[in-house]
Formats: sequence, structure tokens, C-alpha cells
Amino acid sequence: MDERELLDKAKQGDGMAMEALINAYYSRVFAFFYKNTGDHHQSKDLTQETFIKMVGGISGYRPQKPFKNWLFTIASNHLKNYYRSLSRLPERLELTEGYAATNPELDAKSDIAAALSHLPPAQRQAVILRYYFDFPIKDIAKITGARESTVKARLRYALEKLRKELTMYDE
Amino acid sequence: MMNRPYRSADRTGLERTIAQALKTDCPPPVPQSEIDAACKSATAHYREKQRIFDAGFWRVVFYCRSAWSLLFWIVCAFLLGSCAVMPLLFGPDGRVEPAGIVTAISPVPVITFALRELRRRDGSLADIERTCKYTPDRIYFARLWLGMLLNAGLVAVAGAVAFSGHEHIARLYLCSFSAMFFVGAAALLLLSLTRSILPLSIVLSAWVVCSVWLMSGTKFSDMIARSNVPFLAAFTLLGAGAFAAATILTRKKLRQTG
Repeated sequence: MDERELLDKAKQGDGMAMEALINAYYSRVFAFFYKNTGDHHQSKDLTQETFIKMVGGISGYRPQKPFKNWLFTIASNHLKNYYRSLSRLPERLELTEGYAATNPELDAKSDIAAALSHLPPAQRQAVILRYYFDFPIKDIAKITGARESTVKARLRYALEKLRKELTMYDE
Repeated sequence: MMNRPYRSADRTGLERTIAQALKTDCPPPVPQSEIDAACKSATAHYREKQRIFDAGFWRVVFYCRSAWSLLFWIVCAFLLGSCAVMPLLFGPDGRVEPAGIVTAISPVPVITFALRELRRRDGSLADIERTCKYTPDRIYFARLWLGMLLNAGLVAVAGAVAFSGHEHIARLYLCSFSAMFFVGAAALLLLSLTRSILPLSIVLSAWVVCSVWLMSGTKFSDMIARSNVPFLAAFTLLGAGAFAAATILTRKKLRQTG
């Protein structure tokens, strides 16, 4: 069964079709959160919540927009809400600001993961969507709700920072 | 050139390096059991909530009514029926005019219904209204029109008994429906503008005074006999328009105030 058929059935409330869609996209959505937060458990929770939101809003999905983009828009909004909730908790904010230094999971991570963790969330998200998921800039703008020029600027600044960071690791 | 972080050739190379690094740095594998748990959780959530979200509009309108509604309409039917039948039992010499009673009482059920529906919301019904995909103002709008249709049905049935044998039956019906629409519109306007029961009580009291006048002697019958049918029909249509406008305004107010 192709994705369009699955979506039609899921929109009509077919549980099997919803499960098939979740199965097909779970790893990608998890990877999106994991690469953005660097926290395995948090990514698991965020992924699950994203899929709950997905099934809740599936009746409102319009096939004119690719499903992957629609799902990543939900994930991106959920990630924004997550960062917002962190900013309301001062003790957790410190943790994320000192993300690379305090997160034990990061010690074993690659240079690129460590370098990504030093980027501001919006730049990190743009880099992940562009270079890990290969989304075109136009789609990233729609997913993140930013202008194309903003996305381009974010990528430019992020690449500059990453270039410096990665050179530093090489040294 | 100092403003540019890197040359375009370098940038392409850097981009390629970043993409490669990101793709080789795989996130931890996700066990199938975790995906299955997410599937179960999401679909269970859907069954709990989406079932209500996806319910048809008219289903929500009908099922969201309180148990009180049915009893209310039975009582109204009984009262209107009694008003129509009782004077007939006293015979033609009775001082009370059945046509006047029906016309006087015709707006009362819809006003009481609107009052009840708009002022006293059941907690359980409010929960359904919150979880379904239709906004409460849309549901109440439909319910008000349903209430008006039921009221019109009751008046039609009661009128059939009360106006039987009357030579101006069309005029009497048009007069009853006009009263029903105009008083209903006035009640809704007052209710949505003031959000208080007091002005509505004043409207109802005023209507009772008018009713006494309508029911006294043969004034009402004479007035009906003299009236023009097309004029009365236009007046009824105007009343329906006024009621429609009042429901739209009530809907807007509900949307603003919740």
C-alpha cells in the first residue's frame, strides 16, 4: 500500500494505516529530535508526543503538502514548545546552555554532534533539516515558519561556526 | 572579501563535509518495541479523542442536548395543546379566544429554550463541546434554529386545533409565526447584548400584557379579519429575518465570550 492510500485510510480513522505511518516515520522523527536535543530519553518522549499530535490532526491534513513536510512541521513546532518550556525552568535552561559540557551522552559523541550542540537551536535545526534530512531551503522555511532569507542566514552563520569548531577539533 | 566567511567553492565543500559527518553520526537505533509502544499510544489516543472529533455535526448537535430538553418540549407541547383545546371545551360563548391564546403563547417555548440553552450549560455537555471539532457557537446556533423549528411545529399543531373552523386561518397562522419570530429575536438580542436574565423577563412580562389584550373580547379576531394576507406574510418573513439576524449576533457574542 502506498503512502497516499495509507493517508486516506488514516484520515478515515483506520488504526492500522496510522500504525503503518508511525512505523515508517518513527526513526526519522526520533533522529530529528535526537540530533536537536542530544538527549535520548527526551527525544523518545518528544517523538511519541509528535505522533499523538499527528493522529490528532490527521483529519486536517491536506494532500497538497507532502506528508513528510507536514509531519516535520508538527515536530518543529513541538521542538519550539519544548525549548520554550525549558526557558521557563531556569535550572534546566542552564543545563541546555551548557549542553555539551554537562550532558554525559555527549562525551562519547562525534565532533560534529559536539559542534552542533554549540549552535543556537534555530541554526541547529536548520542545519539538521538541510544536511541530514536534505530538505530544500524553501521547505525548511515552511517547516520552521521562517522566511527563506532567514533560513539562508541561519545556515550561513551555522556553517561558519561549524567550520571554526571542526577546524578546532582537527587541530 | 573579508565579509564573506568562505568562498563558494569552499562552502560547497564544507556543506558536503557537514552533510557527510551528520549522516555518518547515526542516532542510537530505535528498538521495534519502542515504535510499537508509540503506535499503540498514538492510536489509543486517537480512539479516545478522535472518535468525538470526527462525529458528524448534526450528531453532535443532537447528542449534546441535555435530558432536560425532551422533557421541556413535552411540557411545552402539553401547555400549547391545552391552551388550544381548553377554550374549545367551554364552547363558543366563552370569553377567551383560542386563536389569541395560541398567538400569545407561541414565542414562549423558544424563549425559555434559548434562555436555558444559553444561560445554563451542563458540565458534561460542555466537555463534549470542547473536545469535538465544532465550535460551541456553531452548535448553539444550530440548536437555536432547531428550537425555533420545533416551536413552529408545535404552533402549527396547536393552531390546527385552535383555529379549526375559523374563516381567517391563514391570517391567524401568519400572525402566530410573526409573534414567534419577533419575540424570539427580541429575546435573543437582549440576551446576547446584556447577558442578563432581567431584560428578558421584562420582555416576557410585556408580552404577557399584550397577550391579555389579545385574548380579551373580539378585538384580536377583528384585527386579524381586517389585515391583509400579503402584508402579514411579508411581516412574517421580516420576523424570520430578524430572528436569523439575532441568532447570528448571538453566535458572534458566544464566539467572543465563550
